[in-house]
Amino acid sequence: MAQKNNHTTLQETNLDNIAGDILRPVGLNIKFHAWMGFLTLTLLACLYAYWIQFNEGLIVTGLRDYVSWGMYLASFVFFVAASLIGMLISGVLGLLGQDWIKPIARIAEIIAVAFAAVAGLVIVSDMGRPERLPYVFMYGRIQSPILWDVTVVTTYLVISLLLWFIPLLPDLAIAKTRMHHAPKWLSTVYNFLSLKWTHHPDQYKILFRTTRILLILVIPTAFAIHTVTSWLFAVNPRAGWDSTIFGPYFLTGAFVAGAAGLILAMYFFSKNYKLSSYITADHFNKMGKLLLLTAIVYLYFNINEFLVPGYKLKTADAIHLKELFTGHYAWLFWTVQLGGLVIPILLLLFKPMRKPLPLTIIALVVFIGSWFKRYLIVIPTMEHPYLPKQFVPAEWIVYEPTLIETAITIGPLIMVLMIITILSKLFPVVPIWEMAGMGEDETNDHKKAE
Amino acid sequence: MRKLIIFLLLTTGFCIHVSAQSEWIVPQERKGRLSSFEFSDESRAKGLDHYNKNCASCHGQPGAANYQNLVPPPGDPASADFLMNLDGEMFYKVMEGRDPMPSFKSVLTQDEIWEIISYIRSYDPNYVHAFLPTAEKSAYGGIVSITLTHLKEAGKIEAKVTGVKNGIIENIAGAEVVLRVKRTFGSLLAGEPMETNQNGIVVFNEPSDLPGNKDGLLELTAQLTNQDAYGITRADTALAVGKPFEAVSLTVERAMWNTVRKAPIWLLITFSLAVFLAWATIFYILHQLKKITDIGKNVVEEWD
Ligand code: HEC
Repeated sequence: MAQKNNHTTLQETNLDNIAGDILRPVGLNIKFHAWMGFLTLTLLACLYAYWIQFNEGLIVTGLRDYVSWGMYLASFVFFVAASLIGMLISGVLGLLGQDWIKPIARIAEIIAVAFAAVAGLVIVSDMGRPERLPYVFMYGRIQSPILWDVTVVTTYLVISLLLWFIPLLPDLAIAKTRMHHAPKWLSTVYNFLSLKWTHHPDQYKILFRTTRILLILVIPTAFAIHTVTSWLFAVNPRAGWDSTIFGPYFLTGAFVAGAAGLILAMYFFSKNYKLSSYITADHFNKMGKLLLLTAIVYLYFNINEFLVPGYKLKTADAIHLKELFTGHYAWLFWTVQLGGLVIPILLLLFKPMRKPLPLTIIALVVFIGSWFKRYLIVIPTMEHPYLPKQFVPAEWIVYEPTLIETAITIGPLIMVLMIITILSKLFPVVPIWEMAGMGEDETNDHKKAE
Repeated sequence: MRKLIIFLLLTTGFCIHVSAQSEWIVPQERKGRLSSFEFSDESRAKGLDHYNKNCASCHGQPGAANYQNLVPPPGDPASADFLMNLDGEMFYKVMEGRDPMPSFKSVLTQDEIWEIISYIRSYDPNYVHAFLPTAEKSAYGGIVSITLTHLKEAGKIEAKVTGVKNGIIENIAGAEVVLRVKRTFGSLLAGEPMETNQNGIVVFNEPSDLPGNKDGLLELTAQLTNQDAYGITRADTALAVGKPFEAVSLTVERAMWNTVRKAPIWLLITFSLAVFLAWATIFYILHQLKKITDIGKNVVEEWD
């Protein structure tokens, strides 16, 4: 107990202030109920759309024989991509000793957990006979990237959940005695979840060791999840997918989408939760630079992805590229490539653009662009099979999503928002103990020990 | 004026050319040709099979009008235009072909072509079937047969054509014989067709470089080409003159495309190892969480 008594009074008041700031927005208020009510109603509408699809089959969507992976799969890729931000922030930057990420690391994990948890459901929405889902496990082939994908997404979800939960333990212990404005059941939940945390140095030691192991483990897992997602496409010899760089192409694209998503969340929490003294302008500046870096790398992969097949122009690739550059998808393609990537890169080069508000607007554009980028990866290729399309109904030839399909696509997004809302409204979004410098002796011990 | 004449000449030439394209003339003497057997359910079933393998890719499914967009169009076999052809005309067209319709002379046997015609005729409600009664099969008026002998040392295959007419056996000279080897799809000519000599004998070189079955057996068919003169006369034999070849099924060995029980070993090991390592770590961490709780419990007890 000696160490605990060493904490000066100054530190105690410091902790009081910080805990006060961060815990103020936590809890269920009228805003929370209104927002969750709105989300629930929207989700019910989406579920109704799914009910129709479940009963009548995929015929109610725009999916037909040629395009069997439409918006659903585009959305799936987007969800997996967005979830990768947890690994980039905590894993890569955390292990590199970038201490500035501390206040935003938990937000990144919340995003990771929310998107990874729902990604699997998105796949189910693309199944005509969802009740046959168990067949994937009963008759699944270990040779199929689909099975690999299911495996790594599950693993990543569990690791991300642990990476969110373990660093939350000290905060739960702090919060359970301080949340006077919260209902009693919340304190009970905190007490239960805090796993008898007493800020004992040995507990901190375990906390640091386990998170460190998880941070190392999360990097290959996250690389695997999005590389395998890219293989779902790249193992097909089809124009637009038949690429050897699809793994890194998807991975860097994921970092772009995830960084943009994190900036949006940071802006929301710093303004709405009044946490701007923790999530500062400097954090936005740094995240702006990170977004810039990832976007440049992604642009580099894009150039490779289009220039090399565009130079060779093998017949099928030529048809595919023509469709993107000047054909049916031209306006979407150029809007996404220029508006969602090139212009943001140019803007982010300037410091004023990395201030909170301008950066958030840019991030919003990039985030939406990322979704449509997935659409462009999935659908045009499916519309151009190698064999000629003959004697088929007109609606098979060009894919047009239906209203029901759109509602079913929005559903999972609502679920993501719900998960983020619950995790960020019931638990502190910024680590109190890290802000207050608790457990630092143990970190230093830990660092010295290495 | 001269220009006008040239113009007229050219346009007429062009018109004639076009009409030649659209009209597919079958020589008079071949129009009336009939099948040598009666069409039956069996022949129609076989015909359907041959049709799907050889014709459907261009002509589509009869009645569906889903033929390929070629010039000139192949046409739907169930259409009135197509069925207007006499049996003999159809037979001639399939035998000879006309660009882009391929000739099937050396791909299908004559019987097989007749089987296809019997199948196509099942779409023709007005069709009245006529075939050659056995006695009228040939102009020769007797029964002709081919005997195949394998001259192993010489590496040759001898075909002897004999006829029996009015109880007298004779050698048939000057009859063209063709030797074919059965392949997976259709059959292959083994050398040029040849005419029998004075003794009714023709000698083919045995095919030397063809893959046979696992014992090197090749299925050979000798046939007289002049069906009008001799009727359908053929002899089948199987000779071990091919290269022994056993096609190993692609699903025998462990492979990426096989069932999960036959997954590649390296994949099983890598996948299981990766999953094991990740989840062993996760369980280790869960165990550490238990330790955190234990420490907490002890501390609380100490305070008490
Ligand atoms: C490569 C494509 C192709 C294949 C394979 C093909 N055909 Fe044809 N067929 C055509 C074309 C093209 C024509 C029209 C030719 C012309 O008018 O010069 C045609 C014409 C015909 C005609 C004449 C139709 C008429 O109205 O006079 C018959 C009979 C015919 N095909 C039968 C067959 C049969 C039986 C097979 C299979 C053993 C077959 N074809 C396979 C392309 C094909």
